[in-house]
Amino acid sequence: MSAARDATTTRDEILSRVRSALSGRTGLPHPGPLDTQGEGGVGALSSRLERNGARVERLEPGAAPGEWLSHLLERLVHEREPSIAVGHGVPARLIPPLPSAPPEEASVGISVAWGAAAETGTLVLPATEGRRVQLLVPLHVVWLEKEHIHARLGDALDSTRQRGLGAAVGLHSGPSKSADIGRTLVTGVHGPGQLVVAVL
Amino acid sequence: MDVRSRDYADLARTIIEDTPGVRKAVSGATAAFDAARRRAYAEIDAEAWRRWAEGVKNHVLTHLDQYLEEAEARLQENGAKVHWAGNAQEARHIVAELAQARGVRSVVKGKSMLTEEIELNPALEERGIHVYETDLGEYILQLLDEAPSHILGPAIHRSLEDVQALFADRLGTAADALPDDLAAAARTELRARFQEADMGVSGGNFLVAETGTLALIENEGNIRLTTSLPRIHVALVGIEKLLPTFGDLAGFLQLTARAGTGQAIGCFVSLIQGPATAPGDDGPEEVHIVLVDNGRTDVLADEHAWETLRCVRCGACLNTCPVYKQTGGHAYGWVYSGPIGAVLDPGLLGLEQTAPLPFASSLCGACFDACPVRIPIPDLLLHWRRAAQARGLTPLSERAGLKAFTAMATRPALYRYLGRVGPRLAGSSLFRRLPVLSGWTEHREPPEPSPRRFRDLWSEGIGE
Repeated sequence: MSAARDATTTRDEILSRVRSALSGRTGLPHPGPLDTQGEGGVGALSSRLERNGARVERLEPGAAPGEWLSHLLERLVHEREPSIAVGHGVPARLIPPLPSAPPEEASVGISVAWGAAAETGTLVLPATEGRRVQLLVPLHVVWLEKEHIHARLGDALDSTRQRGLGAAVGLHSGPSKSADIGRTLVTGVHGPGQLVVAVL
Repeated sequence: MDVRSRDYADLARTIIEDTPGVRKAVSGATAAFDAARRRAYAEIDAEAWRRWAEGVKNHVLTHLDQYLEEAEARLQENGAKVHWAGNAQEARHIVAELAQARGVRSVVKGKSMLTEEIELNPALEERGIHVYETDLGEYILQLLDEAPSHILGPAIHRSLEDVQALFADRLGTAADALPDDLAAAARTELRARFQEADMGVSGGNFLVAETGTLALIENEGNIRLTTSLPRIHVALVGIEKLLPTFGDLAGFLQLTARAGTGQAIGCFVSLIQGPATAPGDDGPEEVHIVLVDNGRTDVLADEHAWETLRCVRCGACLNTCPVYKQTGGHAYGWVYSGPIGAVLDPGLLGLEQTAPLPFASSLCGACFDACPVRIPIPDLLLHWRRAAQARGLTPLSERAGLKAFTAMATRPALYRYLGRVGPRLAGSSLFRRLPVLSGWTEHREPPEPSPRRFRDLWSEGIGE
């Protein structure tokens, strides 16, 4: 008997066990959507993100985004020469004039979110810009357009689905953290220890 | 892991007597989790959310065959490979064969209770493959060669001092290193393992049938790394983890986080549809989803116990349980502990191996109030107790005590007589040696019984 045939048999056996378990039982209905009634806008998003341990900055009116971010990073990164890793497809105007480095070595990663949900403080990050830039850097900067902020997580996910889920989507809602050692909160365990959301 | 649930009483006693630090650490950690959960429930209409989640899970479980086929079809369209494992041995075999056929030398793992259940690590190690747990708590336990004691905080039974000593020995950190330094040392060590691993192994919190989306919730980022850096990603998913529609995800992601840690959502959620193909995506070339039964269809067939399969593994029932708190998870003798373990383990393993577990409860009902999918754990504890009773599998002391109670309760005159003398016996050495009470009074002062009988109070009108 070939391995492929074995696999098919196992599959059919499991499905047949499920059907026999359910035989004679009434199928229960789906209760429909859950209304979570979240509050929208930059304010609601910021307060939730800050509760989650992230930092929210709003681009000053009239400022050039790349330059503005460069000045912000001077305050946030305590390195003489911070380097940046930039996500695939991030527009040039959003990239600060700093030396670039691979995500494995860079001090800052730069991403653009597809959307956000205020009720959970969640940023939607597509895998198509590269996942390493979102994960391996100590400080992750995520650009977000005001218009892309949804009140509810469900709406942010729906709009992501319409744009295409692709192979993977990451939802980031705060810096990496753990309380596995003596119940003390530690940030930056594996993923970025600092999350900065830059609102356009 | 070997099933040791039959030794529950001995394991519990040993933990309480020999390692008093465990009770202290577990009580503290679970109290913090439970308080956070209560605050998080208070922010939402928790009752409505829990009823909704119960409804969605009931729907998916009573149409499970259809949703399994739908999930399989979507995943295949997305380019993922779907495998089916009837039992633990088949699941281990599938992963080990995959790894060997692709020349995998090292594996990084995200936290997964199912991989503990099927004992995956030893099966890979037997074939010369290195396996690295990357969740900080799991990493600590791997170094200690211990099993997780809690679904969410696998190492909550270990103190800061324990980790300081362990890391000083194994990673060369200072004996008094702070948690930040300890975590940094683990991060440096594990970052190298991430970079060199050929395969990442994860579990799965949810699998959405409509889109073939595997959802994984975490706070550290190690699961995102596990599912993104190695060229192969293998996810082991219990067949009960399905959700019908993509629209159901938002509710479940939030409710699971609120129930488990009190957060609005986990810091990182991975939504995975398949292997990376788009330019720019540096994710895995291969994604394999292993759908595991291993006793779940037996549970589904049980007209009472099937409700256990709604479980989202948040740990809320452990955190609120006065019995779990005393010992942590190791006393339960298998992977799933606490109230949910006490009703899930008999279903998955059979009562012969697990009979004492449904009795490890005071039936206080706190677990039901905490459960985000409203599993009637107290009713199910009674269900399994009755089943154990019917098959003569009850713990010895319980049997003797119940026999005595039955003898007494079925003889009204004797019942009344004992009711009168009982209170006078309290505090005496005889009271402490009564079969039902000795297990309780060995470690505590016996409660003072009311000097007046319930029967007397009742006939006079209580509280008047």
